[in-house]
Amino acid sequence: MTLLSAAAAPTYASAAVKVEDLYKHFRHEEALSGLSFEVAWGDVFGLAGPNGAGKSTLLRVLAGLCRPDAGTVEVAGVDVVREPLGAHRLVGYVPDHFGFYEPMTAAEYLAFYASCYRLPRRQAAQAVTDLLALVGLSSQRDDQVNGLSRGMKQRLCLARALVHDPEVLLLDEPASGLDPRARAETFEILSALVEMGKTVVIASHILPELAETCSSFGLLHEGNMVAFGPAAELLDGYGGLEELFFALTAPRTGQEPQLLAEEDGGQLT
Amino acid sequence: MSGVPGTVALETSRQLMPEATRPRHPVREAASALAALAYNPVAARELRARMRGWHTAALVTGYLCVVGGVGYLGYSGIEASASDVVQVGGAGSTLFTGLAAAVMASLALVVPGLVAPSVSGERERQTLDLLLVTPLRPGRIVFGKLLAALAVAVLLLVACAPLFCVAYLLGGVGAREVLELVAFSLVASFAVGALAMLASVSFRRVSAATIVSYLLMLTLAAGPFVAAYGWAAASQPEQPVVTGTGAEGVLEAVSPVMGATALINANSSCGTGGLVTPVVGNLAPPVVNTCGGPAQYLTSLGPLGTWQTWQASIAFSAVVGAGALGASVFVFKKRALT
Repeated sequence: MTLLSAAAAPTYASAAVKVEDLYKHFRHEEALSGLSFEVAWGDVFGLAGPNGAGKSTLLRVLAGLCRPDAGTVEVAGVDVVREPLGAHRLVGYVPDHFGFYEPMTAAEYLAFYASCYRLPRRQAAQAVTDLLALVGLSSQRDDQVNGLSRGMKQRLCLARALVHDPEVLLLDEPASGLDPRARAETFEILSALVEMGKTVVIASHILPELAETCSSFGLLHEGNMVAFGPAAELLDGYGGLEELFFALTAPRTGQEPQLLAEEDGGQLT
Repeated sequence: MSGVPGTVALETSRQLMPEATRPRHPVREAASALAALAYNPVAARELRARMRGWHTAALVTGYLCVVGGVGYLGYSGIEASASDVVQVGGAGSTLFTGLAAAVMASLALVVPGLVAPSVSGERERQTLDLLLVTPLRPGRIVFGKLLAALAVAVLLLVACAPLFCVAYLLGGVGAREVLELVAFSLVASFAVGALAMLASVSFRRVSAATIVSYLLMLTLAAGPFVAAYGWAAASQPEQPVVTGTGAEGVLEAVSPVMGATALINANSSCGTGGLVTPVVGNLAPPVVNTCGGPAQYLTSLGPLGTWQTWQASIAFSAVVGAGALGASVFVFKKRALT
C-alpha cells in the first residue's frame, strides 16, 4: 500500500458535503451565520450570492483552509476540522485568486503538486499527461506557466485540483474574468467531470452557466442560506436563477422572504 | 463533453490511478517508503527554481568576489610589507583571518535575504493556499523552505573552499580551524535562517519579513553582548565592566560575534610554517600546519569551564535556531487557518 492510499478513504454512507450549524466571524463581522446543508454524492451544487455573502469563506472552510467558530463540516465523510490532512486527499480546491511559481512549465507545475500528494512517479507522469489533455493544454506542456493566457491558467489550476483524483471538487469563481469561449470551455470540462461522477461545488456569479450546469443550488446572503434545494424545485415559479437572485438578495429590511425548497416545496415563506 | 479533448484519456488514467498491485520486495518497499518520507517536494521545487534562475549564479559570483577580494587585500598587504621569509609565512594566517571574517559577515547578510521571502513570498504570490490544501504537514513546508535556502548558504561555503585551500597551502592555518569555521558558519546560518523564517511566516509582505529578518539577525549577533553589558551595568552601576564571570560572562561567551572572533583569531599564533615562500613559480611542497590557536576556554564559568568560546557560541546558536524553527511552525500553523 502506498502512502497515497494509506490515509483517508471517502465514506459514501455520509453525504459528499455535510455542514451543520456553521458559524464563522472575522473581527466584528459575521461571515457565516449557522449554515446547515448537505450535498449528495455526484451532485453539482451551485453556490450563488452577492459579493461578500460568504461564498468564498464557505468554500475555504470546506477546503480546510479556514477554521470555523462553531459547527461541523464533513467533506467525503471526513471531518475537515479534525482531520484536515485526510480531507485534503479527498478534496480538490480552486481558489478565486491564485498565483504560479516561476520558472516552471505547465507539466512541471502539475508534477510538483502530484509530488505533494505523494503520487508515485510513474503514476504522476501519467496523471500529468492525462490532465493536460483533459484541460486542452497538451501542446502547452513545456510552456512557462506565466506565459499562458488567463483562460489557460484557469484550466491549468483546475487540472492541479484534479491531480490526486479527488472525490469532491470545490471551485471558487472558476470562470471569472474569462472570455465567453474560455468560460464555455471551463463549464464543458466541469460537465465532463460530473459525468465521471465527481461531486462539484461551484461558487459563481455567472448565473446562466451555473443554472445550466448545476443540479442543485444554494443562495447565500449575508452569511445565511436564503434558498437551498434541487434546481427544478427552486426555480419553479421564477424566470431563472437570476430572478431568484434578485428576489432574495435585496438589501436587508428585516422582513426577508425565506425559500426552503426541501421543507416547503420551494414556496416562499 | 464535445470539444473537451482528453476526457477519454482521463478516464483511462482513473483506472491507472489506483496503485499498481505488482508484488514488491519488502526491503525495496521499505527503502522506497523511507525515501518518500525523506523527500520534501517543497524543498525540491524551491531548490530547482533557485538553481535555474540567474540569481543564484550572480549571488555566488558576487559572494566570491567579496570574500576573495577581502582575502586578497589582506594577503597583498602582508606581502608588500614583509621584509623576510618568516614574516611572509604569516600570509596564510592573515589570509585565513580575512576570509573567515568575510565569509561569516557575508553569510549573516545573505541568509536573511534568502529565507525571508520563502513563505511571505508564497503569500504575496497567492500560491500558499494551493500548498496548504495538499496533505503536506505545515512542519514539512516550513522545514523544506528553510532547507532550500540553507542549501544555497552551503553552496556559498563550498564555493569558498578553493580560497581556504590557498590559505591552507600558505600555512598558518590547519584543517581543524577550517572545519571549525565551516561548522560554526553552518550552525550560525541555521540560527539566522530560522529567525528569518519566523519573520517570513509572521508577515504577509516580503518587504516587512525581510526588514524584520535583518533586525532579528542583528539581535542574535549583538543581543547577548548588549545583555551582558546591561547585566554588568545593573549589578555594578559604578563600574559596568563585563568580568567574564557569572551571567554576563555566559551572555558574552555565547554571542555569535564572540564565537566568530574566537575562530578568526584561532590561528594568530601560527605565523610561521606552511608554504614559506609565496612567490609564484617557486612553490615548495606545503607544510601542513596543525598548530591550532590559542583556544579561549571559559575557565571562569564553572560548568562551562572546559568549553571553548566558539563551542559555547555554536551551542547557543543551535538552541536559538531550534527554538525559532519550532516557533515558525507554530506561527505558520496558526496563521494558515484564518
